[in-house]
This record gives sequence, structure tokens and C-alpha cells, in this order.
Amino acid sequence: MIAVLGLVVGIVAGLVVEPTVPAWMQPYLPIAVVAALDAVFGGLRAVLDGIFDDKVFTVSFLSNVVVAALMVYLGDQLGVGTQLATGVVVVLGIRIFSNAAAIRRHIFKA
Amino acid sequence: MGESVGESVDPTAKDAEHGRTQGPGHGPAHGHGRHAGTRRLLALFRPQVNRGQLLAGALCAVLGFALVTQVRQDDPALTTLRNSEVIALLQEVTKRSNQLESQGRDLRSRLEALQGGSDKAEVAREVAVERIDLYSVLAGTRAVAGPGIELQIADPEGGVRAALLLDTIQELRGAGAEAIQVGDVRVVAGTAFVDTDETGVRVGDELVRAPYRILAIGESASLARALAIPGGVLEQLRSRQAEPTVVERTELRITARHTPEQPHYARPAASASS
Repeated sequence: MIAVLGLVVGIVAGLVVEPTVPAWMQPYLPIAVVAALDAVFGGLRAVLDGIFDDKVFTVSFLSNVVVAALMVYLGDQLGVGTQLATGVVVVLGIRIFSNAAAIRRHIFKA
Repeated sequence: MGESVGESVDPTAKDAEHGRTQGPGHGPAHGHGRHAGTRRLLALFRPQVNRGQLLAGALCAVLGFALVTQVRQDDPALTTLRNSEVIALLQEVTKRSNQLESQGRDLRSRLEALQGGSDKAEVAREVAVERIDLYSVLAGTRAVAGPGIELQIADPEGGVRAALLLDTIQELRGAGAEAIQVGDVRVVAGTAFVDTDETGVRVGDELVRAPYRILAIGESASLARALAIPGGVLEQLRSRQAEPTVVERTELRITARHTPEQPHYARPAASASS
């Protein structure tokens, strides 16, 4: 519940404050957001599976974001920035889909 | 990374068969029954203030904030794009610029054509105005001025006839007279010279009597010479005691005008070229 509240608070804050993203962060922010979304869906699935642990959730959240950003950065340095970023997004998308499917099975029994 | 291992956070177990340990722990907690998932989901909405929840809440807040910020962002500045994106952008801009360049060329050539067209219309207009001037001089519809000669024929004995006047006019025309006036009548191509029962000659619609005054605009020396040729008009006039006198003038005004009539029978014939 606090998590949901936190999400709402964050969204409202983003709408109100309307910050401008600093230039160095701009290529990484979208990937970081998708990685964080993957962690949140994973946490939700863990709750429904009855195996949620806040420590694990926090660590997975942060490490997802860091690893995704690192991969984008590495890709840029190696010269395969677009391809690697696409790969990261694809994989995160797959994981989100599978977590969402598990959540759906829990809720709708289908 | 998406799987978390921990304990369910449901403090009041609806499932009486199983006791649950509270707080963060480890090891899988088991929920059985068909509605375990839904129960846990509903339990999610029960506020519990413990460190884990607060941390999860904080992280979700960060996620929400970042999500909204990213969604609301405008086009990224060029410095944040990757090399390949910049190159793609450059190619697109170049292509667009080439398209605009060729469009610009097309428009410029069209503009020139239109301007040239309007110039042509202007030139045509000027030519038409010149022609109006020319034709009005020939048709006698306007007063004209210029150098020429003035021929006075006293004719005290009335020996001048239409034929002689006509000869005079023809001689003047042959010498390049561009406008001719006899008395108060403007002589044009259709002007007739007719003898009448009375003294004088009917020129056009009017009766002109002696002394005759003929004005002709043209190159005055040529006109005078033409009249004075041996056996010419002046000799003939003198032979009839008409007492002609010719005066060359540098500036003559012919003010008589002719009113043209619409032809009843003649009409413009379509020619092969027009």
C-alpha cells in the first residue's frame, strides 16, 4: 500500500515540479525507467506469489537500473550504442511480459 | 532479478491453518487455497508502516517521478544523441534540405516566367498604345502637330476642281504627308472630292470654297519639292490662274478631325497567320 502511495506521490511530484532532465542523463533515463518498471513488476509478482522481501525488491530495483544504464553506456563507448540499447529494452520487455502474465494468472486464474 | 524471495506481508492470516511469522524474514511462505493470490493482492492494500514498505514506497516514488519526467520531455538536445542517431538526423536534414532546394528552384523559375509574362503584357500594352496613336493619326481622329507645308490657293477665277484638289492631295501623300487638312476638313483615306453645282468642292461632308487652305504634315522640303516638280500640281494650278503659294513650316497644327464610321459591308477577313 505504501508502495502504491509512493508511486502516486512520485507521479504527482513529477507533474507538479516538471523538472528538466540534465543533458548527461538524457540517454539513460528511458532505459532506467523501463528497468525500474521491470523490478516493480517482479516485486508485484513476488507479492502475489507470497515471496516478497523488501530487501530483495530494493536491491533488484537498484541493480536493474544501474546495470541497464551501464550497458547503455558501454554500448555507446563500444560504438554499438543503439543496438545494445535495443537489446536491453527487448529483454526488459520480455521480463515485464512474463511477470505480468504471472500476475494475471494469480488474479484472474487464467 | 524479477523474482524476490521473502515473506508475505499479510499480518492477519485469513488462512487459519497456517501460522505465519511476521516481519522480514527468509524462506518461502506458503499460501494455499484458490484465493491465496487475491488475498495477498488485497493485503497489499493494507497500510503497514515498516521499513521495508517505506523503502518500497520511496523507490516507487522515484519511479513515478522519473516516469512522468521522461514522458513529458521534449525532443532531446543534439548532444545527448548517440553517434548513429546524429548521423541519421544529419541524413534526414540533408535530404530535406535538397528537397527544399529543388522546390526553391522550381518556384524561382515560375516566378521568372510570371514576371516575364507580365513584362510581355506590359510590352504588349505599350505596343497597343503606340498603335492607337498611329492609327488615330491615320484615321484622323486626333489633332496632330508637326513640321510640314501650308498651301494657299487663292483661285479667284474658280478654276480649281475636285480632280485638281485630289491630285494635290495624292501628290502630297506620295511625298510622305502623314496628315492633311483641306479647309476645315481632315482628309483621310475615305475622303471623297466631289464637284458640285456651286462654286467650291465638296470635300468629305463639307463644302470648301476658295481661297483653299491646305495643311500637310510631313517632311516639309519633300512636300514642297513634290508640289513644285515640272508639270506638277503648282504648274497646273498656275495654269488655271489659281495663284498657289507654298510656305514651309516647322510647326503645324492640324486640328480638324474625322469621325470614323463603322463599315457596313467590309469586315475583317480571317488571315492565314492570325
